[in-house]
Amino acid sequence: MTDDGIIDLYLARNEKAIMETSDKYGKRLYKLSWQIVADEGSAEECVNDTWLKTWESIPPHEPRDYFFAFIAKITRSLSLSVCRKMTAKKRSANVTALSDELEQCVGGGDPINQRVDEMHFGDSINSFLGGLSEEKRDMFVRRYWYMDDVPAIAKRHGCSETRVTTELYRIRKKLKSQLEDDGIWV
Amino acid sequence: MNGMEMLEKMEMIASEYVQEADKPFQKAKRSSRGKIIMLYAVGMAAGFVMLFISASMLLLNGNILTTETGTNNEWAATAFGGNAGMPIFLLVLSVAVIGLFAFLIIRRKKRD
Repeated sequence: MTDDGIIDLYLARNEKAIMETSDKYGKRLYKLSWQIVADEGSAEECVNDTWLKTWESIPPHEPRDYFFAFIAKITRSLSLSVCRKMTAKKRSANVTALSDELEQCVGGGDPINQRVDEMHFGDSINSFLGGLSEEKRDMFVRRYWYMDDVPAIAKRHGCSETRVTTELYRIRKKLKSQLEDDGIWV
Repeated sequence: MNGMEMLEKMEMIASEYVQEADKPFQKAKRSSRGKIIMLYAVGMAAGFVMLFISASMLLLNGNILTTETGTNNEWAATAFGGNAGMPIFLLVLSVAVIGLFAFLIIRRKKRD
C-alpha cells in the first residue's frame, strides 16, 4: 500500500492503518531502534509505542510526502529516551561512539536560552545541511540521524571507510564553527 | 550540553533531508565510480605507453646491463647518450605505474 493510502486510513481512523504501517516499515523501524537501544525487547517496545504515537499524531499531522521520516523520528526519539535512562556503561557501543563524535561539535558552555536555542539550533543545522553537497549531507544524516555505522555508509556510497571517516570529521568541524558563528554556544 | 544531548538534538534535522537520505544513493555513486574507473584506465594506458617507449629505447640501444653504448645504432647513441640508465629507469617506473593501477582496479572491483 502507498503512503498516501496508509495516511488516508489514519485520517479515517481505521485501525488497519497500523497493520499496514507495521507491514511496510516495521522491520526498518526495528533496525533503527535496535541500533540505539541494542536490546531486542526494548526495540520491540519502542516500535510498538511508535504505532500508538503515530495513531495519536495523524491527524492533525498529514505527512504525505515524508511519512517514513515522520514515523522514524518518533521511533528514534522513543529509543533515545530509553537509552537516556540507561547508565553510560549500559548504552550501546554505537550510541557511545556517536555521542563521542558529536561531543566534538559542542562548544564550551551551555546554550544561552534553552527554548530560543532549540529553534535556533534547528534553523542553524538545517541551513548548514542545505549548504553541503548531496553526498556529504547523505553521509551526515545517515550517520547521525539513522545512526548507521561507517562500513554501511561506505558501502552505500561505494567509497572507503577512511574516506567516510575523514568526510564526517570535516563536516563535524564545519558544523561546530557554524554553530559558534550562529551564536548557539556561550 | 554533551554528545548525547547533541545526538538527541539531531532530530531537528528537517524531514526533507531525512527522507532524502532514506532513498538509495545511486546516481552520485555511479557518476563518481565512472570517473574513477576512467582515471584508472588513463593511468594504466600511460603506464603501457611508458613501457613501450622504454622497451623500444632498450632494444634500439642494444645493451641493457652496461652503461656503455655497445651498439652501432647511431640514432640510439645520439638519443640516449649511450646510457641505458634512463630507459631502465623508465621501464621500472612504467611497471610500477601499471602495477599500481592494476592494484587499484582490482581493489575497486572487489569492493563493488
